[in-house]
Amino acid sequence: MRTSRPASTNELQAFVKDRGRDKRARLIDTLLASDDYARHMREVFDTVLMNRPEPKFVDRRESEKWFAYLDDAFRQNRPWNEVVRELIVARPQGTNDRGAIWFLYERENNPQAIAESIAPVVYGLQIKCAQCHDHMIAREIKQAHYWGTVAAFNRSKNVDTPNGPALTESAIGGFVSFANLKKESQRAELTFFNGRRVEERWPKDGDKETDSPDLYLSAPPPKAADTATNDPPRRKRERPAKIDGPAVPKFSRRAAFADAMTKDNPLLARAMVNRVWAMLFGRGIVHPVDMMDSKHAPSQPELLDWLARDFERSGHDVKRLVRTICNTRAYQLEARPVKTKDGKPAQPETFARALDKPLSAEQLFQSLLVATANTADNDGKIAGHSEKELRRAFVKQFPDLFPPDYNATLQQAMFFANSPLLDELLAPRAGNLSSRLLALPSNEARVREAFVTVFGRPPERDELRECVGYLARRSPEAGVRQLLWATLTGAEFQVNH
Amino acid sequence: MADDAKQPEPKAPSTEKVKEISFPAAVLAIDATPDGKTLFAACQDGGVFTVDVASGKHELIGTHESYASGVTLLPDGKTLISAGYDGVLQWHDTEKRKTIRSVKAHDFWSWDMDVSRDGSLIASVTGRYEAGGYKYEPAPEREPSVKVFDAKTGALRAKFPHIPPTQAVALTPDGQHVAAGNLMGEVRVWNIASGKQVSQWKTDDLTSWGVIKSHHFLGGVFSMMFSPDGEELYVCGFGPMRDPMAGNGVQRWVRLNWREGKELDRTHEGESGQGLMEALAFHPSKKFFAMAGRLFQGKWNLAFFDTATGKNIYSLDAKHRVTDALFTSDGTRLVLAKAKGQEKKKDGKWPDYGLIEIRSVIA
Amino acid sequence: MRDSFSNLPDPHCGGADHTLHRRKFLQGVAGAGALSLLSWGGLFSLPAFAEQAKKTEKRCILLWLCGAPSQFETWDPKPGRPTAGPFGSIKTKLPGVHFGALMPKCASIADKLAIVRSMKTTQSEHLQGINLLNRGADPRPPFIRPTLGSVLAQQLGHLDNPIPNFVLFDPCPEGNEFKEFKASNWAGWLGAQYGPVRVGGEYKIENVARLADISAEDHEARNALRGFLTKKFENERRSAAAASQNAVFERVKGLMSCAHLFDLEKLPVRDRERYGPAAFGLHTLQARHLVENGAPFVMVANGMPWDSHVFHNEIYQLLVPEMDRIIFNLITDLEERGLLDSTLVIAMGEFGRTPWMNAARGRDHYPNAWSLVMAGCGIKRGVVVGATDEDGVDVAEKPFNEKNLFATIFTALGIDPYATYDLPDLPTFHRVEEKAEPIRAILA
Repeated sequence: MRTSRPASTNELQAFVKDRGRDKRARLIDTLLASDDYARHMREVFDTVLMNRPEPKFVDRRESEKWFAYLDDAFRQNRPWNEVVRELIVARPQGTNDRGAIWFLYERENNPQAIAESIAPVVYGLQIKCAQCHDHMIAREIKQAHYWGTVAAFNRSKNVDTPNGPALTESAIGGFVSFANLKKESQRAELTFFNGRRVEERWPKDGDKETDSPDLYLSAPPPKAADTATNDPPRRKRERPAKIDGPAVPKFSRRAAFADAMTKDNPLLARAMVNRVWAMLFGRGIVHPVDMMDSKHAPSQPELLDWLARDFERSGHDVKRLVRTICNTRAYQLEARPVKTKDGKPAQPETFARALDKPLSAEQLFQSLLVATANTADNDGKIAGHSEKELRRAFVKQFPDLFPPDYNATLQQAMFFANSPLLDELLAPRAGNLSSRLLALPSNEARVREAFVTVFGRPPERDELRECVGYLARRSPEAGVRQLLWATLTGAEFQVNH
Repeated sequence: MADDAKQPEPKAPSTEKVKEISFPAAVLAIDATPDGKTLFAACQDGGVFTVDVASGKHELIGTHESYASGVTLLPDGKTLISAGYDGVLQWHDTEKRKTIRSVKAHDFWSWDMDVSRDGSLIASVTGRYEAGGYKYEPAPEREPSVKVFDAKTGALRAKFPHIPPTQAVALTPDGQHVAAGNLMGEVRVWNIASGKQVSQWKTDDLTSWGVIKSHHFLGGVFSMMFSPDGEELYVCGFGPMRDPMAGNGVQRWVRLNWREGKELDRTHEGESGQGLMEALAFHPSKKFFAMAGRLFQGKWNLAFFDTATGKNIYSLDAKHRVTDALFTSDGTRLVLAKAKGQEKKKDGKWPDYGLIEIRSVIA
Repeated sequence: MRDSFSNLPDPHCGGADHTLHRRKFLQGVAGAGALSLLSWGGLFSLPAFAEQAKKTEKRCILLWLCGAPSQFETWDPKPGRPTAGPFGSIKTKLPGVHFGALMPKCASIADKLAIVRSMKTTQSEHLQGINLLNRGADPRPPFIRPTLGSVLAQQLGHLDNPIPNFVLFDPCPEGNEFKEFKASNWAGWLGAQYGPVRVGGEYKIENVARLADISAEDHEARNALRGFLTKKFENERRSAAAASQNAVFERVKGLMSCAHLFDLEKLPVRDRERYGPAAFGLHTLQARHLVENGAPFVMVANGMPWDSHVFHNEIYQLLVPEMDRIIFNLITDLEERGLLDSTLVIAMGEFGRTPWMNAARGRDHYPNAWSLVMAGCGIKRGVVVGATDEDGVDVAEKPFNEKNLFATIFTALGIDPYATYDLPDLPTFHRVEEKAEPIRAILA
């Protein structure tokens, strides 16, 4: 499994020399225990759960402990249903899980945005299409599911407390309606796509609900949860109210939703299994990953069932899931084309061979740093740039994580061809790959070392001939930089295989 | 959402449906005689109608070549002014049931029209949205956006510039000032006699730029009115959306000190759903006012707000888009102009899709 | 195949062989197809021929009105009917033919246009409709039919053209279903080299200048070395991702040489005023400029603004006059430059909009009866074909579907509409299935 960088030369040599039969399984276990695993999962699930950040949130995801929370969740291998529950309930018990509230908080009191981003996690679905009408193609996705999921969050509100950002929740209100295609209004009841519903007593038309401290568990009076309503004029973006602590109602819609989603919800396990499978194979058993509806049948239904059941029975054990998939014969297949019995090439959804998996921005960036052996100097700069700046440049060029179809862009090629950022990683600097190659005695040695470092294999005969010939016609520095450029920008490096 | 227990609860008014009158096309504007027995309707098929409330019968008294968008009865009790998307203002004699004057006011639509309380002035606003920049910022006006006419003679009394489209207009009760609001959430107020602009105010909270599907602006100020004492100005519309084509902006009014161009209050957090608000009306008691429009998501598309506190004190899902609203002068009736969705032809005929709804007000 | 790789182009060796090997090399597995292309580069080095070729070469601009434009405010108004909307209609240069009143400029050149008023298709949801009207047939998974742009890039373009054979202008990074379509596989079974190069708005072509620390020769040789190494990978593994990457890297040198053609600032101010100031017009101007300089296919989109479920009139007062001016300028400019006879212009969306208005002041999706317009190469001038009933509810005469449309486009451009795709491991597909007839009434 490639976590977020290619194997270093030492790791690779150790793997090849190890003659133990279970060497692959052991390698997988080593990787699962490594920092790289936690970081890779954090990077993937940060994008899955939060999308690429608006600039103003880049630093806050760090400072509000969101990254730390995800990192810890995967490092400690916390049960996935517990993690999801914490994201939904967002009432941290200690400092460790403080970052969990960021999932809701960054959506800035927008319950629709929250519903749309939790749906892929708990239903395996994009539900945006059901905002204005029942889904036109996958008919089982009802508009009521969309608004039911929204209602789970429409009593909640961002507040700032002495312990940091929090989400308060009211015990009343949030009884809203939505207009269907006929423009008739319908009640947004707590009805969810997995068939669960939470019964609530709806106030009669014109009845006024009354709030009272009896309805709350927490110390702060509910009034504090409400923002002052008579302090005009408002600023463009309302700042969260400052209060001592968030209100916690005795009946919490968030907690009720969390129960319905994380206890006996087979969709939660299926969505995660499909997601991890796609992360490892470059394609989900249901493809695209977020469309686990009646119109997108799984390519191997029994496999999905089995993995989901195993994941659920194991207590939503993510590392076990990753390990199971990595130890399958399918995952260990080679990337070379395979033909089916009738002589046709095997289709991607058969997983009869390893599929292309272009690296994500983060993987690509990490891989380039590792392969070129560029590290931060005393000022914390890598080849003259801060890590953040470099990362941002890569994320801008490679924003997609689980694209249904992969399309390289001309802008990406131009970036590699002419951006100074990559060029500077290839300039010889103390300790980096270019200077190491330049120190070698012959062009052949340089080519061999370059191949082993970048591709993890020695060059073939024709490759060696072309590359040595190429170096021979140029100054050593120009030759080495260009050789490295040609290998690092090629598919063998940029596509996980 | 949580009520403040210390404040005495204002006695909440309520309403009940009394009558519904069907029209072939959406009703876009209404007015009423002081006794409330006769109504006037401007409709999407261009028709201008008188409506006898008792019988529910309506009679066509004038026609615009495009949507009829505004209608107001002058204090003389018999002259009716209408405006339309043909850019024309019309004067109708309601007794003789005929159109007595037409004035081409604008090249583009009359989006909105208002008549001064004394019946001497008519203000109308226009302007087509044209792209003025790469990101579809509106271009400057091609014709004056705001015009004020003499109601007696039909003569143009004043014209004022704005950024088109200028979608809403209101005259102060004393007829000295005219206010106009546009697509971009900008309100300008002028002194009609001096021709000078008195103030300007703008908010980004009543307009949208389409991030999602459509790179252009949508929304803006859709209705405006002065408070009965003329000191404050109310504007309404809906809040910003990332996808304007969802129509899901927050239902919103804003109250302004218009002389200083300052915001005083706006719909309170948690008291609104989503949907465009396009009608405002003060109750004759002045204790509360109504705002109405469309319900996209939420509890209501018609609500009353306490004048003193701005609180939502009554709300109702009126089932269809409300395009205009008025209280009869005795305050006992609320009249709503409505537009349903147009239905498919049935048996070779297009079903009616306009409504006037009359509701009793228990205050 | 392997042997040809050892003859890597190297600027240091020079000689006539260079072009030939480089091209073989570019072609990779394409095989025999490469031969027909061998002469292009050489021919274009003769200025006179290049000029002549530019005039006779066929090309196409698609104004993609995504979101689905209403026929009522554009090509098929129903004045006085309950479905008319507020804008009215105007006379055109063609006797008895009216357009929406927001289109005076197109009305003045109606004698150069061909209007189809009787499109009748089956898909009423965006993604399905966009696919249908871009690919010309219903999907048959797992095979992916190439889009119109990719077919034309292959048929009208040549791989050595420094200008991309398929340019897509669209500034919107978002856009719901259109976004989904944009992220899909445009070139399908033709292969990634026929996919679009996306520009416009945030999709600038940056990094166009070569860095100072590498010579032009080395820059090219380095890319060729990259190609040599990675092509092996692509071929051995049949890697679609590698193919996609290699296709864009092969565009780098060409793009660096013609990047100035994409620079809006270099176009005359007067032109920018006529088409601008907004994105859709400026991108159409750029499309015209690219086509003048040898681009075979350019598609101009602008998100999906035509999807007016709410505020139909409020949006169309902006969009229709803008489109009117853009089509007018494009057609008259192409004609002035002598390019209209060799350039096909198409303006259409994925379906039309409902005759009835919904309660949110909008018109909804309507594939049952809608309109589109074409002009230029292979198309009769000043013709209206098909008709809808008095309210525009249904097609009254001569319904046409996407297959008829695609057969028309291919015929107009001199491309065999029924050619068979003869690709390995693929069932038999045709450029247009079921031998669907072109719309003969609008073919010149």
